Amino acid sequence: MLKAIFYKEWIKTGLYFSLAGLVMLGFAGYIGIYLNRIADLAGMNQLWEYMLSSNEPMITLLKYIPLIVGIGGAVAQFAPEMYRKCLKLTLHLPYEQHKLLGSMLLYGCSMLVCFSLISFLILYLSYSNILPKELQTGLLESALPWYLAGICGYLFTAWIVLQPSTKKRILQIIVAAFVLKIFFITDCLGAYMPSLWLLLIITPLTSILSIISLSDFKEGRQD
Amino acid sequence: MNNNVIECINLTHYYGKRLIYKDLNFNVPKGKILGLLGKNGTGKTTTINILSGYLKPFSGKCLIFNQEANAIRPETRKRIGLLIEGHVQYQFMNIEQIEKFYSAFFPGQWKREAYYGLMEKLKVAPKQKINKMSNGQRSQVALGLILAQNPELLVLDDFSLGLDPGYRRLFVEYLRDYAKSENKTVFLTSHIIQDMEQLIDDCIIMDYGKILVQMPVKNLLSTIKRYRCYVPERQVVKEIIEKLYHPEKHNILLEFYSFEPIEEVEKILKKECIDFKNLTGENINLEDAFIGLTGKY
Repeated sequence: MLKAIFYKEWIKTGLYFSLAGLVMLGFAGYIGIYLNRIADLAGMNQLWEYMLSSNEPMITLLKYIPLIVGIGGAVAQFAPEMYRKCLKLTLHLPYEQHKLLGSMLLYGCSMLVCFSLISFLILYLSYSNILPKELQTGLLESALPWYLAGICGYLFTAWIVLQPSTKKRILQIIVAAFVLKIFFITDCLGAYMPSLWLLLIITPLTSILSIISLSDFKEGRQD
Repeated sequence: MNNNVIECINLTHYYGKRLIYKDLNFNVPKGKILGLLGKNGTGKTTTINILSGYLKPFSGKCLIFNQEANAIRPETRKRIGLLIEGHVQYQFMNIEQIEKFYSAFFPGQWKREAYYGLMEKLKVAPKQKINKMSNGQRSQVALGLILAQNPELLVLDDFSLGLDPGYRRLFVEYLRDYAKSENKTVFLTSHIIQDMEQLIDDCIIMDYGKILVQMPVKNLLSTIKRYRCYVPERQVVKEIIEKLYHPEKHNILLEFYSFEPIEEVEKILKKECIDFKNLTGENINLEDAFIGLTGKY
């Protein structure tokens, strides 16, 4: 069943995720090349000094890319389900309905996790010969909340798109915006380290929210 | 033993403060084709939505295969084929992909040849996307998928919506032959009554807030009659007369519908002090019976 659900999701979103993946990885690659180029031109010592004194991770170009990819992914995946209430067809399949929804979310999250890991790998490899270990780790730690925001944004958007009531949808957008703001409070190197656990808890918990929208859809809730 | 595939008990539903219906009761026995007829806004789609578990009724309950409609187990859903209003299907898939996708959910039950048999008649390429198809072609894809699923119960919401006469006929003929030869139970709605006459065994005619009639189509058509008589031009005729449906006066011609035999109708007219002559009654088709019972407005 999981294979069949992934098959459907891939037909629906394959093009989007292929392009979005390319964009996400392209940005990571670009930043890697960019930092290497600065190190070549200005020297590594100056690059380190700038990063430490300015507290700027120099990868802020990436900041909102995972979030945009995540939100777009959820729209590409769930908006066609809501078009003329196509979701009824999905929910009518002989498979436990929460598992159905879970499998669909798993597909989207797997894509984003996959892109995030490859992006991280690209960044790590790009920095390995120009930055010391501490700065490398610091950079990746700074970028981690942004990638978590991508997954969280995906799960929030799924919750919003699946909601049949417009009034509730507006409320949900406000809640999502406030929670997502937590992931972008500061860009400082290592600033999120003490509270990273909170983001790591919030992100998977967000997946539960879609069950509420599903339940509203099944009850035929309208404005 | 309970032979009913669908049982709706005291269903009441409101949208906001607007009552759709109150204490609606009906059953669909196994092997029967039951049509729910009603004007727009009488609650046909509401009933289908409740039956398919996508709407929680205000009160009352619906049982399908003895399970509450909003908590049907996955194994039971295998036994129910659902056609959503407008023949909605996954627009992003093509003919081949959609068959491959659905077949994975019905191992041992899926009749691939039933689907492709119908697709061959449509003369569409296997790679043709559903969003590039006409309404008629999409209806055949939806029907083909239901036939391939081979369910015991078919729930079809307004199957004739957007179809031209050719596709409507094709849909009705295919469905009738399939349901009768395989002893399937069908619950359906349509706003085109003439399609229903060829298809259904029993009918429920709904008006705003209530069921007007629930009986086999044969019984309905053998009992209901359209009556005509002549009355003086100045004759005043009440809008509501017991046992006479929707009396309408055009100059000197009075027309109404009734289940009563002509002798009984004569008595009613006399009792109402209507000065009539040349009273005649005629048999009518399902569409006329529907209009006679629900009115034109």
